[in-house]
Amino acid sequence: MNKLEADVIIIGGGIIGCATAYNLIKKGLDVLLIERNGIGSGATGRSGGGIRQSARVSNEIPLAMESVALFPGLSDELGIDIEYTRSGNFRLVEMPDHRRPMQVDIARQQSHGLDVSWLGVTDVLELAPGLRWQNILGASYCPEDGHCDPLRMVSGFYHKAKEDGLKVLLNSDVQNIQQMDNGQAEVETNTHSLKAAKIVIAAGFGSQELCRKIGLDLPLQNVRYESMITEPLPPILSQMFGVASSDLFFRQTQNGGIHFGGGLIEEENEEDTRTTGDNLKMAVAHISRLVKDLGKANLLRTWGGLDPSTPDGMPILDFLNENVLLATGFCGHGLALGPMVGRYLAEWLATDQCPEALEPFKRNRFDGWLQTKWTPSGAFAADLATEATQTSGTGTVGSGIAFMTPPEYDDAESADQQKLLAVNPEMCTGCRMCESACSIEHEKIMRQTGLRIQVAYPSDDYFLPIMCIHCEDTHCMEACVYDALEINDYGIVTVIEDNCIACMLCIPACPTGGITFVDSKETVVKCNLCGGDPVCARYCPTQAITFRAIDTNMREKMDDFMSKNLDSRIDR
Amino acid sequence: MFEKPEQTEIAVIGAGPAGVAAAVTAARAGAQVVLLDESPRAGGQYYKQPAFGADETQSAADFPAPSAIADNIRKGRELLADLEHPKITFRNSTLVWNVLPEERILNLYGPHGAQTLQAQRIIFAAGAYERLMPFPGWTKPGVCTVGGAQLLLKSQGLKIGQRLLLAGTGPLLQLAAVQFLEAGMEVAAILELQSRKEFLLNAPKLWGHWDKLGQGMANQKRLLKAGIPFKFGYSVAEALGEEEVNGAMIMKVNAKAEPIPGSEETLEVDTICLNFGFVPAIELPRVAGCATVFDEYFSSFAIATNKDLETDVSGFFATGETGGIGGVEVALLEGKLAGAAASRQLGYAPEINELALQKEQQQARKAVATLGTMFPLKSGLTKLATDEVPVCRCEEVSAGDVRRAIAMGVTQLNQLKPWTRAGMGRCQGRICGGIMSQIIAHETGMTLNEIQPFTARTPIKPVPMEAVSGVEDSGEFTWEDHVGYGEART
Repeated sequence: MNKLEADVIIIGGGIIGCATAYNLIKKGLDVLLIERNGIGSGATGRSGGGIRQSARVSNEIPLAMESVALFPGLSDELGIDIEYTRSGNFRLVEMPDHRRPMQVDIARQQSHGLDVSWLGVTDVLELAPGLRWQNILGASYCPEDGHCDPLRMVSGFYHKAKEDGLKVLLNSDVQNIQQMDNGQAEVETNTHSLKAAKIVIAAGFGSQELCRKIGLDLPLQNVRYESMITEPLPPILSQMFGVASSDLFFRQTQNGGIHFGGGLIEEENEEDTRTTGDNLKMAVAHISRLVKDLGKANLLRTWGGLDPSTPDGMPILDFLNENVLLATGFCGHGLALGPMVGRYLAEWLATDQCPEALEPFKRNRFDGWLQTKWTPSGAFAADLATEATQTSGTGTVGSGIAFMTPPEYDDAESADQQKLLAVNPEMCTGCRMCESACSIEHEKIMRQTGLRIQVAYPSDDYFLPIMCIHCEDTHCMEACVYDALEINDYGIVTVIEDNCIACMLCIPACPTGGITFVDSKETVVKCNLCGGDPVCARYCPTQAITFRAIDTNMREKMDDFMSKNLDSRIDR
Repeated sequence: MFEKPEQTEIAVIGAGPAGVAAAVTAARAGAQVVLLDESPRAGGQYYKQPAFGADETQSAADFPAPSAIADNIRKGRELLADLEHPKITFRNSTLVWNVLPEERILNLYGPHGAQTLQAQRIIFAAGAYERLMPFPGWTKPGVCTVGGAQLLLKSQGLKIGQRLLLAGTGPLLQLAAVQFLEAGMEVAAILELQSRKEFLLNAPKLWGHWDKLGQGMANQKRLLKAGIPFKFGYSVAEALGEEEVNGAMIMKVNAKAEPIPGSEETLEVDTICLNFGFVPAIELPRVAGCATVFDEYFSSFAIATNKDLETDVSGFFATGETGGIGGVEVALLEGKLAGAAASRQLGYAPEINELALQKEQQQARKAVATLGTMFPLKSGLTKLATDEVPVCRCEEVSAGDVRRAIAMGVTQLNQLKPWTRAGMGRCQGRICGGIMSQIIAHETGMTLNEIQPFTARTPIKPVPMEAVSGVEDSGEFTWEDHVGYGEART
């Protein structure tokens, strides 16, 4: 077996690995990089190419601002044109429900000193005439953001580092990492045995497995990302685009192809670079709604794969023991951070001092974190969850819907009582984790329309998850003339999809708004309690939604709450 | 993907000899078959039928084609007559751009827009592509493949040029030269990469394969009679001409197929036809997850099958060229076998002696393999592609770019993508993949079986976005643009 030694061994040839290697080499260290496939073959190759500071978790914004400042000089520094353009980043709002949360989010970002603002649809169209005005309500706009070619960028770092003496082991798969008695650590690959004082794990979706090898189980979950590109088209878009619901990005590359993708699907930890049919169809339909005349353009290629995410949408940058530094969990937005993270990590490795800027990314923030399966969520939703203040909202607010003081729940549960979903709006932070969980559970895809549960924002500080509360009056069944709704064994109303012709008579009949229409299915959908273990309650971080036994007292309160709501609707 | 797909028992992809044989066999056994092909007429490349337009009554004899081709067209027509079967639906001009292996669903795009088809068994019979080798000027108008020139002749009765140079390796060169001669084109020379010595040493391998030997002899005789120079150990080295080809520089090559400096000669031609063998079209089976095997006789990856021609993904079959280059006899036999096996799995009883057919198929495969060993692929020829010669035409990547990436440690085609963008254009590496794997083999000393092909990506060929989303894009709708608006009112 071949033996090699170096000061630092980097596992993973993505943007983080290559940028760190480049900066370490600049400091004069002896660095060896191990990659089991090709440079940029992992999450970097699946990146959308967005170089943005906006639409990030608050703790990430300062780091992103520092990193983005490096980009204008990067092409010259690396000696390769990374096709960087600072043309701005839009986050498009398509649904009225998203307008207010987006404006709240913009205010949050502005408080961190970011140049980001709300633009109405006419202003958006003036800057990006390639969009369809019909489906856009407005957008957040950050002029300092832009996009670049991720593959050129990563190979630029790699080339430059290699020219300056980086040692590389391609096609080599790490089998084990061990600490040795002499203070060094040993890395075993299928071809080599390597020794170094410091090891960096920047192995993307493979990092979790490597962490487990040294006995640590971190809250990382691999999430599937998918990218697609069209044939080269004439220039129609110059900016980077995202959407408020975080499930689509798009940009036009320098050779003209529209590069788009996104879509989060829960996935097992196995690497499969094929795309899934449903997500491909959704993404293409989504971008066709937003960009003019894209339907006739040819789709050229699609690819996908995994990227690790953390519960709070921020990476983990921390030493796991004296030797091993972990840098992973960028949740699909690591490309823009890469150049600065590379600098800081190199500084950390060279000086053994954690740079001030990396303090928020230490793993101890997850201490006491329950090792349960969690639903990954975009930075947008995660941020609202941590930042939204909990206030009590009572009385009549918002768009004419009557709200009353939420029922007081007692914890007495008995086995023979029927368990139902109970909502406490006072606890709700509006994070919309329930929406994501519900969508993934039932549709296998993260969507923002046709949801069985939807969080309403009646006012700035009052959030209310709306779904079927399984009332005893069953107004929906009375309204249905096609026998498409029935009471199942558990005693709740379910939709018989074969009978439903989507006449939508049941939708206005429901006083809570618990029934919605899904155009892709051409039937209505409603909550079915997930067969006895509702995911919305399971994933609700604040227990605003709970799955519990409902006693008569509470039933009455809920019915009372509803009847008021019903009355207010009838009045209107 | 949400609407319920159309259902059938067996779907056959590709209406060439293998696909037609499979469809006919399965339908005769009683199974419901949908036969899909990208081109407007069945027959594939080998039995390409002429484009007579609406006048289908015109007979093959009226077709202005040389006897060799007219004969081919007639044979094809006889075969295609069997497609008139109540159990067979032929969907022409339909591209299969994706396959979902778990559900056995095919995504189609054709005259009726986007459609989905769910089949209980799926038979791949997509044929093969021609292999090319780059040299200075190979992207000029006037350089084409031998098969391309043949197609023009078969389907339209058109001559590709006046004075042709045929270059490459393999028996197709002679066969095509005879057809071109009969069609009234002038053939300046035929350049065969293999040396005369090697060829003569290998010739006895054909002992016993009398039909192949006889065919070759007849073609040779015909070419000798016409006085066409047949040059062993030569290759075309440069396409001359400003805007289009007006001549060719040819060079002698050594045993490794490296060009020998100082042996340059110039020929005056207006068209250069190339063929360096064939590469199986295996993108769709690879998207379905079918395992590949390296076909060492023809130096290309093919789909691995068992004796029923079923792949390792159950319910999927690979026939003809998809399972390794085999030619028309193999394709017809394997089509029958796969059609029989697929229909038998669905509970039908095909009236076919499968054991005898299997024996015949194995013999035919063996004979073709012998031919393959006579015309081996040699990566030394990549030396012709000097650093400035483009190898990936879609993304304009030069041979030099590829070599620089190899010098930086690239050993696989997929690893080339981030460095050079090679293989990321419209052709998705169908043309350039084979070329670049040879460059890697030549530069690194690796063998071709160690270099995996580009990952197959959905869609396997470019397909309009509206076909993927299923939502038609009407653009900015105006009444003036609406076709038929005027007629409707009057």
